Amino acid sequence: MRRGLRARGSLQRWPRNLKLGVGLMIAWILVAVFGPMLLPGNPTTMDLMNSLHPPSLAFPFGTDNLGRGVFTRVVYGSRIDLQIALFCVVPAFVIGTMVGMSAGYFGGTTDVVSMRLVDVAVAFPFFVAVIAIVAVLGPGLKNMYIAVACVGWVSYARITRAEILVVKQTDYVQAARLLGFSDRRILARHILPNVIVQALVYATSDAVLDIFLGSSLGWLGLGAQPPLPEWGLIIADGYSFVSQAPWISGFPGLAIVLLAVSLSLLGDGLADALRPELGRA
Amino acid sequence: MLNYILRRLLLMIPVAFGITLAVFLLVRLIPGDPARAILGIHATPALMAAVRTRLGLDRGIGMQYLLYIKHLVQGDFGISYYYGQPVSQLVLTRMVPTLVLLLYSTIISLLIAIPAGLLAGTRQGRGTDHALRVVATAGLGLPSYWTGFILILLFSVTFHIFPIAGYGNTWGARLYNLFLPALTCALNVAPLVMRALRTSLGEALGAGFIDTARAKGLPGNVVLLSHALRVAILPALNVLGLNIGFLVGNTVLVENVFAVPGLGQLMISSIGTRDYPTIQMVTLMFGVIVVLIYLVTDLGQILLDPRVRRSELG
Amino acid sequence: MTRSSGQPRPMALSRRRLLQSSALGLAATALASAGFVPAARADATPKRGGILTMARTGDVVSFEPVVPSDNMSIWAKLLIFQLLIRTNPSGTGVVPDLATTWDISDDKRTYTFHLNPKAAFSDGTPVTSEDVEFSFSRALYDKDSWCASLFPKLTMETPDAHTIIFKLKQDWAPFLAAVSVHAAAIVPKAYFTKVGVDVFGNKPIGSGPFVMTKWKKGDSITFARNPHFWDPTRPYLDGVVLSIIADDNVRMLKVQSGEIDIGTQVPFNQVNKLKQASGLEVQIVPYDRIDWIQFNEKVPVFQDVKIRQAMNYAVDKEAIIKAVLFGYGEVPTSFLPKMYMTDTTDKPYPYDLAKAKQLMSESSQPNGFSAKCTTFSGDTIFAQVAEIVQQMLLPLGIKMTIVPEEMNTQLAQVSAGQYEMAQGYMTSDIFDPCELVAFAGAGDEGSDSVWTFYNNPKVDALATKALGELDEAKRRATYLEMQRMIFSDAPYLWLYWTPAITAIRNDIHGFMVLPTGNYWLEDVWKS
Repeated sequence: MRRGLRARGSLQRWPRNLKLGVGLMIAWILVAVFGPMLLPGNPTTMDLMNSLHPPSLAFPFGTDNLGRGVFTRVVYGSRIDLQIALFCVVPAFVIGTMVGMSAGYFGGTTDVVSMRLVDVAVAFPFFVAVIAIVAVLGPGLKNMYIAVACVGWVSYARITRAEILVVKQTDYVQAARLLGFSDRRILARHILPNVIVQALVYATSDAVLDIFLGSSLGWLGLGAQPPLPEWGLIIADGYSFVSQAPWISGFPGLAIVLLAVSLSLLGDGLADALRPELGRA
Repeated sequence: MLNYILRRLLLMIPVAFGITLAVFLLVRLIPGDPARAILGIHATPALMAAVRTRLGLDRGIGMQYLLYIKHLVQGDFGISYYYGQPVSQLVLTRMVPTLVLLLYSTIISLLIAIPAGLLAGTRQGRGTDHALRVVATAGLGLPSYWTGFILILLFSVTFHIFPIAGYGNTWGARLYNLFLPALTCALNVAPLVMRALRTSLGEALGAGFIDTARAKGLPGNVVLLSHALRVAILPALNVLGLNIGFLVGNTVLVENVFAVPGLGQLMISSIGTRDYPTIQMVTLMFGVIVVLIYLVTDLGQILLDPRVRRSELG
Repeated sequence: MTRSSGQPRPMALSRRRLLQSSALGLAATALASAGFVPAARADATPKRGGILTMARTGDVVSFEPVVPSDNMSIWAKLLIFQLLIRTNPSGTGVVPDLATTWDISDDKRTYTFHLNPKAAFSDGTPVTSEDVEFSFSRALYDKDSWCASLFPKLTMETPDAHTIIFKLKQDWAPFLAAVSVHAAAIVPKAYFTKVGVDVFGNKPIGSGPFVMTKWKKGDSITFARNPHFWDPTRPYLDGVVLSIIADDNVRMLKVQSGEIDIGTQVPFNQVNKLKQASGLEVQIVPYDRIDWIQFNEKVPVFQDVKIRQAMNYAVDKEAIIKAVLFGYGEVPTSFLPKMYMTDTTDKPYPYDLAKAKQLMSESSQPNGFSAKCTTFSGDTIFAQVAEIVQQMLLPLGIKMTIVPEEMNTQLAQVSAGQYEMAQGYMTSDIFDPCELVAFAGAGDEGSDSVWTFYNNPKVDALATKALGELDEAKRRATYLEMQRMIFSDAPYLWLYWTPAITAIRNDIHGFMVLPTGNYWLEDVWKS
C-alpha cells in the first residue's frame, strides 16, 4: 500500500516514461522562459508586405495574413499555453483535493454536503458550464481560469475522496490515530502523500484537457483574445486558411500535440513509478 | 437492484433543482438584454421596456424563479424569447442528433480504445505501447473543430468516402453522415479510455489470480480475455463515464463544423440572443443526459464487478 | 451581411445574427455605379424543374414579416411573400411586385396602387386590398414594429378589392422606398388573424413564388413551387432548399464538390482560390454595408474634431482591405454605404501620417492619449482590423486597448453610451438612404447617431429638409451637402465598403444577390 516517489529511489531507477516526460517538460519550460528572449521578432507586430509566406529560412514556420512570423508566435505562445495548463490545474487541484480530503476523512455532514455539491457540479457538462460562466464574466483568459476553477475541482475531489476512503483504513493511519496525533498532522503527514499521487497523475491529463478547452474557447471568442499568440487562437486564425496556408494552423497544432505528449508521458511515468511491480520494463 | 435504480433516480431530483437554480441565476447574470436581441438595434427604450414586461422580466428575480419552477413542475418549459415557440418543441427536435452523436462517438471510442488499450497494456514498456500512446495522445489537445476539418479534407475531399457535412433525412444516411463527426468526438475521448485500460490491465495482469489461471495451464490469450479484461474494463468504463460531460461539451464545436442540427449549436446561439428559457432547458437536458450516463456507468460496474455490487447494494 | 474571411465561430454566428438584426439589417440599396452589376446568366431559354440547394450561415427566426430583423429571416421570407413594390436590381428605384401599376398625384400626397388581379395566396385565396391594408397596418402600427419611422403620417383607403390608396399628411420623398420595405410583406388577413403571430411565424402563407413546406430547425428549410402563383410559367424551379452550414470552410467545400448549388457569404480569403475552381462562378456584387470604428463624443478627447480627423488620416484603409479583405473592399467616401444618393465624388480620407501628426499637434492632446475600443469577440475579421488600427494609431501617441466583448454585451454597452471607441457596421433595409441618415447621421430617432452622440444641428436640418424635398435633384444636392458635413466632422473612423460574394455552380442560371442582400428566385433555373 505504501506508495510515493521516495520509494523509487534514485533517478536511474525512474521509469523511462518519467525520465522522458520530465525531460520534455523541462524543455518546454526552457522554451517558454528563454525562447522569446532569443528571438529577434515580436509576436504581434505586423508586416503587411510579408503576408502568407510559406516556411522559409527567414520565417521557419511561414507567416500569417498579417505578416507575423508563425514561429515567433508559437514560441511566445508556449508561455501562454503553459500558463493555461498551470492556472487551470492548480486552483482546481488545490480546492478539489482539500474538499475531497475533508469529505473522505471526516465523513458525516461534511461528506454529504460536499458530495451533493459535487453531484450538481458534475451534472453540468464541464464545457457547457465553462462557456456559461465565461459568458457571465466576459471573454478572456483570466475569466476562463475562474470558470475552470469553479467547475474543475470536482474531479479532484472525487478522486481524492475515493483514495482517502481506502487509505483511512490502513494500519498506519489507524495507528497514528490511536497515538492521538491531530487530524491536521495525520492528514498532512500520512494521508496527503499517499492520496496526492493519483490526483497528480490526473492533473497531467487534466492539463491537456485544459489546453484543449483553451483552444476551443479561443475559437468561440471566449478564451484568449487576439492578438495574443495563444496556440488555439493561432489555429483559429489559420483555420480559414487551412487549404491555402496550412502552416498557420499546422505548426501550433504540432506544438499542442508535443505538449500533450509530454504531459501524458509525465503522467504515465508517474503512474508507472508508483506501481513498482510494473515499472521495470 | 430495482431499489437501487429507484433510489438513484430519486436522488436526481434534488440535483436537477440544483441545476435549475444555478442556471437560472447564471443566465440572468450574463450582461446584455433579451429585449434588445429580439427587437434589434432600432428599438426604442419604451419598446424594450414593453417587451421586458411581456416576458415577465420586470418581476423580482425570486418571483421569476418560483414561476419558472411552478411551470416546470407542470411540464411547461416556457416559450422561447427569440423563436416565440415552446422551448420543449425546439429542444426535443434538437436533442435527437446530439444523442445519436454521443452514442455513436461512444461506440467508436470503445472500438478504438479497447483494442489499442489491450495491445498497449499487454506490451507495457515496449515499442508498440509507446507508439500507441503517442498516437493516441496526439489527438487529445487539438481543438476538435480543426481536427474535424482535417478529417473532412482527408476522407471527404481527397478520398470521397464520406459526404462533406450535413445530417441527412433517413437513419441510414444519418449514420453515414455522422461517422466523421462521431469520429472527431471519439478522437478526444478514446485516448483517455485507452490509457485507463492500459493501466488497469497492467494491474490486473500483475494480480495473483491471473498467475493462478496461468498455472492451471490456460493458454495466454484465453487468460487475457476472460479474466484480465473483465477486471480491467471497469476502470476504463468509469473513465469513459467521467468524461461524458466533456464529450457532451465537445459536441458543441463538432456540431458547428459538421452542420449537425443539435443541442450544442442551439445552446451557443441562445446564449448569444439571451434566450433564457432555451438556455435553461438545454442546460437542464445536458445535465439529465450526463446524470443518466453516470447512472448507466455505475450500473455497468455493479453488474460486472461483484465487489462494487456488495458495497453499493449490500 | 457579409462575414468575411473569418472562421465561422459559433459564437460569432449568434452575434452576427444579432447585428444583422439591427434595423440596419437588410437592405435595399443601390449601387451608384450600376455598371458594376454583372449580367445575370440569363443566356439560354429557361428550363423548368429541379431543386435549388443553397447553403447559408444561419436559421430563420420566424416568417412573421414585421418583427424579425435578422438577415437570414428577411432573405428567406422574401421567397414566400410578395411586396407591394420591390427595389430594382440596381437599387436605384422600385419595380412592380403585387402592385402592377401605381399613380401618384401631382402634389405627391396621394399614391394609388393597382394590385395584380391574378395574385393568390398559396392556399388559393385571392390577394385583396384588405390584405394589403392589414399588412401595412402591422408594419406601421404594430407595437413591436421597428419601421414606423420610415413612413409619414398617412391614411389608407381600399375603394375596391384591387386598389389601395395611401393619403400622406406631409411631403415624404422616400415614400416608395418605404413601401418597398420587407416588413410590409403582404400576408393573408383572415389566416393571420385566425392563427396569430406565433403560429404564422412557423406556418406562413404568402402569395410569393414559393411555399414553405418543411422546416427542420437548425438544419434546413424546404420550399416548393406555389401552385397558385400569379404567373403560371414561373418559378422555373420545382423547389428550393436553404440549408444551414455555419462553417465557412465547410460551406465552400460543399459548393466546390457540387453537393450544394449555391454557397453564400464566401470568405474574402477564399475568393481567389474559388475563382480558379472548375464548375462554379464567384459572383461579386455591390452590397450596402459600411464598417467603422466609432467614437463616443461623451468622452472628452473625442469631442475634438482634430483628433477624430487625425485618426482617420492615420489609418491606412487600403492596407487593411488588402491584408484582411484580400482586396475585396473599397475605401468609403461617405458615412453611408455605397448606395443610392451616396456621395462618391468626395475624396476618402487618404493615408497621410504627416497630416495626422500635424492635426494631433494642434489638438487638445498633442502627446496622444489612451482609449479602449470594444470589438466583437470571436470574429477574425473584426479582431484583425482592430489589431491593425491599434498599430497604426501608435505613431500618434494613441494607445488603443482592444476590449473584446460578446456581441450582445457590446451592443448593450454601446447603446447605453458606456464605451470609448467601438467597432460597428450598418446595412440598410431600403434603397433610400433616409433610414441610415436618421440612424447614423442626424441625432434623432433615439439612436443618437448610433450612440456616438454626434450632433450637428446643420446636419439635422438638412436631413429633415431632404425628407420633404420632392425634387430628386434638389434632394440629392441636399444629401450631398449633408454627407460632406458629416464626413469632415468625422464622428466615425470609416474603414471599408464590402461587396456580397457568392459561389454559384455553373448549371444555375439567373441568380443574383441584390444590393439589399436578398435574392429573388422565381427567375432562377437549373440546366
